[in-house]
Amino acid sequence: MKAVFKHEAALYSHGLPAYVFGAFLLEFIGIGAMLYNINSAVANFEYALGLFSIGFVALVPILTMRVMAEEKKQKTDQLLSLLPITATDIVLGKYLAMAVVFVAPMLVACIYPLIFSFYGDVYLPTSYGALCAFVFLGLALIAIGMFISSLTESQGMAAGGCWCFPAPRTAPNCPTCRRC
Amino acid sequence: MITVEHLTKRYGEVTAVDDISFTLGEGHIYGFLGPNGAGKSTTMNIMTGCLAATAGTVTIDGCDIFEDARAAKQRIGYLPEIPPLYTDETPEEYLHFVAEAKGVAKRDITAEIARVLEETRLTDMAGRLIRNLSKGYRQRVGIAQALLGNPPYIILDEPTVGLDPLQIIEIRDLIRDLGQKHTVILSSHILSEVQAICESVLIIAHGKLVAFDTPENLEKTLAANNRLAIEADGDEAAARAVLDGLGAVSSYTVQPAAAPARTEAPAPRTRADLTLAGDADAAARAVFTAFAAADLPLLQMTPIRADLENIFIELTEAEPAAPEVPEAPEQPEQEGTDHESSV
Repeated sequence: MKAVFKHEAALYSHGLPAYVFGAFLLEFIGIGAMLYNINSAVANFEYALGLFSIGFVALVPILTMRVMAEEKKQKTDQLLSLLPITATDIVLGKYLAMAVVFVAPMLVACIYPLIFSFYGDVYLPTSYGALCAFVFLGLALIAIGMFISSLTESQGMAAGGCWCFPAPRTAPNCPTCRRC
Repeated sequence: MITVEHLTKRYGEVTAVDDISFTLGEGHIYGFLGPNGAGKSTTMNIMTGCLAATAGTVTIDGCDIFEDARAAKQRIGYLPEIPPLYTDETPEEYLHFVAEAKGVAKRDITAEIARVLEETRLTDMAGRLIRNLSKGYRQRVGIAQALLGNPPYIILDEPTVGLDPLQIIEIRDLIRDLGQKHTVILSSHILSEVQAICESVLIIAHGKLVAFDTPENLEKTLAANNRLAIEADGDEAAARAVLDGLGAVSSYTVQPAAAPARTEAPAPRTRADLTLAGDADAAARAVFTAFAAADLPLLQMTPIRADLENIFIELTEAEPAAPEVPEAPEQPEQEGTDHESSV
C-alpha cells in the first residue's frame, strides 16, 4: 500500500489536477469567507463552508476522475494486478493519496477562523467542527468519485457520474434539495 | 515448477480456455504457440493472476496463484502483450515504483534497478520520459519491470510484436540470455521465432492444448518421413508412366515445373511429391533407377520433412480432441541451442 500511495502522490505532485483542485478549493472558501465574514461581518465561519458545498461537488471529480479510469485506459491496471499487492492495498493507497491532496489546502483554510477571531467574536469550536464535517464530506465524495472512476475507462464519464450522483444530496442551498 | 491443472475460462457461452493441464520445469525456455484467439494470452493472464479462472488451479512452486497470490506473484515476472507503462514517468521512476511494490528491500532498490537497466541495455535511456521512447525501448522497459526482484519465472506475451527486424534480433538475444538464469515462457505466433528460441513448444488451439513437446520430437512423431520431392527433366505424361508402374511409390501428385528462362528452347519439366512404400532409402533408390531407365534425368530429389509450420497448421486447423498431455519432456543436456531462424 505504501508503494501505491507514494506513487500516486508523486503522480499528483507532477501533474496539474492536484494544484487546480487546491487552488479552486481555497478560492471558493475564500469567496465564501469574503461574502459572509468580511462583507456581511458575520462571525460564523461555517456559513462560508456551506456556500462552498455546491462547488465542492463540481470540484471533487477533478481529483477522482482519472484515479481508476486512466489506469484502465493506459492498461496499467494490469500492472497493478500482476504485482504482489492486494486490491485493498491498491484502493487504500490511491484513496489516501487523494485524501492528502484534499486535506493539504484544508489545512490552509483552518487558519481562517483564527484570523477572524482577532477581529470579532468567532466561536472556534463550531468553526472547527464545521471544518471537520467539511473534511468528512470531502472524503466521502472522494470515495464515491473513486468508485465511479473504477466503472469506466473514460475520465469524462467518471467526472459526469461523480457530478450526477452526489449533487442533490450535498447541496443544501440547491432548490432541488429544498423541495426534497 | 509451474503446474496448471484443468484450467478453464468461460466468457458466457464462449470457452476461451478449455480444460488445459501442463507442468513446466525449471531452467528452460518454453514457447506458447497458437493462432489468434486460441487462448494463449488468456492462459498467461490467469497464470500470472491478472485474470480469474472459471475452474482449475495454477501453482507456482507450490503456491496457488488464487489462494496465495502474493507469494505466487513474487515468483513471476510478466510482460503483457501491451506493456503497462506510465508514460509520464522515466524508466527509473517507473522501475522504482515496481520494485517497491514487489517488496524489494529499500537499501537494494537502487542496485536492483541498475541491474535490470544494464541487463535490458536501458541505462542510457533511464532518465528519458517513457512517452518519448521508441517501441523497442518501451518493450525493454516492460521486460525490465518483469525482471525486478529476480523472479525465477519470466512470462513474455508476444515480446517482439511491432518491432523492426533489428529490434527483434536484440530482444531474441535478450530472451536467450534470460533463459540461462530464469525459466522463460514466451508466447508468439511467429513460428520461426519460437523455433529459434524455445526448447519446448506448447501448441494451443480453440482453447485446448493440442501438443507439448520439443520441436524435434513434434517433427518426428507428427510428420511422415517417407515423402520425397523430385523434379524430372521430362513431361508430365512420361513421369506418370514411370511412377504408375513403380511399387516403391504408394501415391504421388504431379505438376509441371517452370523451366529456367535463360534456356533457349526450354524442355518440359515435371515436379512430383511422392509417398514412398516400405523402407524410404530403398524406395528412393528404386525411384532413381526407374527414372534413369526411362531416360528421364532427375534434376532434384529431396526428402520432404515437416517443419513447425506444417505441424502448427495440421494441429490448429482441425477441431481438436484433447489428447493425453504428458509432463514437460526431459530436456537433453545441450552445450548450446543451434536453430536456423529466418527473419
